[in-house]
Amino acid sequence: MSEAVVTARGLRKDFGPVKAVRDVSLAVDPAEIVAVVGESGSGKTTLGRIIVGLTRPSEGSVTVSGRPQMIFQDVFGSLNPAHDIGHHLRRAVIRSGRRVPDVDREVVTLLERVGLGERFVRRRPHELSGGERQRVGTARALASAPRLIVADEPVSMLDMSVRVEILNLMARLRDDEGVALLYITHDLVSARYLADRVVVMFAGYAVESAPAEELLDDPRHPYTRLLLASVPGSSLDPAPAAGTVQAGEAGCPFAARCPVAVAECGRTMPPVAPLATEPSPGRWLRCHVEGAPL
Amino acid sequence: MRFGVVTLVLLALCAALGPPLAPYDPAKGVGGINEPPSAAHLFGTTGQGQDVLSQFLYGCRVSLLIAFAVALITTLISLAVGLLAAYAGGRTDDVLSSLTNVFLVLPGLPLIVVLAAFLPPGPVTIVAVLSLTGWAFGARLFRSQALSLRQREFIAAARLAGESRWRVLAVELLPNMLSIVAAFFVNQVIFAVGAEASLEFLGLGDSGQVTWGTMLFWAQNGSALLQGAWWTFVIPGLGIALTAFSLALINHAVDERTNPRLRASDLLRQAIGMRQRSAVLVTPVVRDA
Repeated sequence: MSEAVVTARGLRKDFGPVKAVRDVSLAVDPAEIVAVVGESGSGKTTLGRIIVGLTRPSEGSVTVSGRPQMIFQDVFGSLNPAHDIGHHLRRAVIRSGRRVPDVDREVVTLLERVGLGERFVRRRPHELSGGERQRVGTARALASAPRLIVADEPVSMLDMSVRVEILNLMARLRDDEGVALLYITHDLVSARYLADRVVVMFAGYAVESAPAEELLDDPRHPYTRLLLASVPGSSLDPAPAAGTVQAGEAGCPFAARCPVAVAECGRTMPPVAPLATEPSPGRWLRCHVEGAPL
Repeated sequence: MRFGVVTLVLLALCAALGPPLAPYDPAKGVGGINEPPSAAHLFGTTGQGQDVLSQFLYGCRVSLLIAFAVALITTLISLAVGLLAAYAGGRTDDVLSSLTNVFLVLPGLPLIVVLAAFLPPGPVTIVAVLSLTGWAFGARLFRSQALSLRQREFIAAARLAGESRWRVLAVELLPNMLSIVAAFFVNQVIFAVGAEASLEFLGLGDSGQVTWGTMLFWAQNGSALLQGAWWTFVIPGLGIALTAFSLALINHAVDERTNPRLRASDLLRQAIGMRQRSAVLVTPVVRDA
């Protein structure tokens, strides 16, 4: 395996009393799509912003190769309404540091790569549909030929019919151009569709990581299992009885909600460890009660 | 909108071409004392026998120049302080916001009067005094707007692309604030026209200079009201009122163009052929024939 495009070690980010990201380490390989899933407020977006350099971590380090780019969630807010599409892409090309002999030609090429054409150059963001805007956002991210793109819930604001198109576009970027993606989402179905590996976050901690199929077929962390149970059509019970363990400051933040928590869960947050039973490469977990039946 | 623009253009033409067109030297006594409007003196004469029309035309230039200069300077200061505070954040924001708050709580009119009384009288002093006391509200306004825009993702995207801080401010952020900047500028012109006239009316300007404010000052000095010489104060008063009125109309039109809510109701009225403005928005209903 070649060298990772991003390696994050021991990331922590506090916003005042809010612990947005806690002790998260992560690596993404070239042409790998890693999905980061979790509920709202679990620290996914903050992690993504730290990795691209938009947010400075309170602790920890990030090593990235090249200049990572980001595709944003808000398709209405991610393009400047005061400028046309050409401006967005031209600036991205000019600032990319690449030697481009003909910037305007490169802008058209970028638009074509994301399935749009030259006719979009002079259009303003408000003239575009949500899907088209997200394609422009993707083209802008591609302008600097990044090795890693952080996609922050790129399809959550789009129609179901458009979502697949955008997800396919991302899969194509990985397959054809070897771009690595950190795909931030709360949608497990799309994570399974797109990602090679899934990292589950809860209350700022990365609690479980595994190859996508493996994790979704055989989740080991109680939170992952509850998350999967909440997917419509799942056979798992989405609301089992809550636990009785009091979660302490140093304990696992999920302990109070965990139906299988033990006293130790309230006291200490377990370290990252490979699975105790059937360990598999690249799979790890932070749980005292690995795989306990819910 | 049309009336506002036409009036303002006429006033601007007065300011630009007025002095060469003025029939008399505005400072010289060229007629009798307090002569009512006549063919020789269309707007009558003052208590010192000067021609009111000539004074109005000369005064128009100085008054409008002062007003636009104050508006331009206060808008630029407000923008610089507001944008820098919002974008830099942290200690810079604290310092600039505190400074803005200090200027906001200073009692404006007394400070203007005190400053104008201590500084040498003249248009430059008036511009300086009004600019110094008039920028804080705008800085507050622009800071809030910029803080809100700063959270938008296109700003994050520009930063990620590697744009410099100044370019993000000037090219990405500022164009989205143009309507609010334009509205503030227009309001400042209205404020400055009134404030300049007030200062000069109180005798805090250079009373030797001909402006609409000093015309009012001399009218008051010569007891024009008691003398029944209404033309000496109504004419400059009308100039001030028309300037403010035309700008207020323009301001309202800008708001109508840039405020989506107002624009939508306007389009809807046009679409259904409604002439009267209504406080209640209507829902168009299509009926089968």
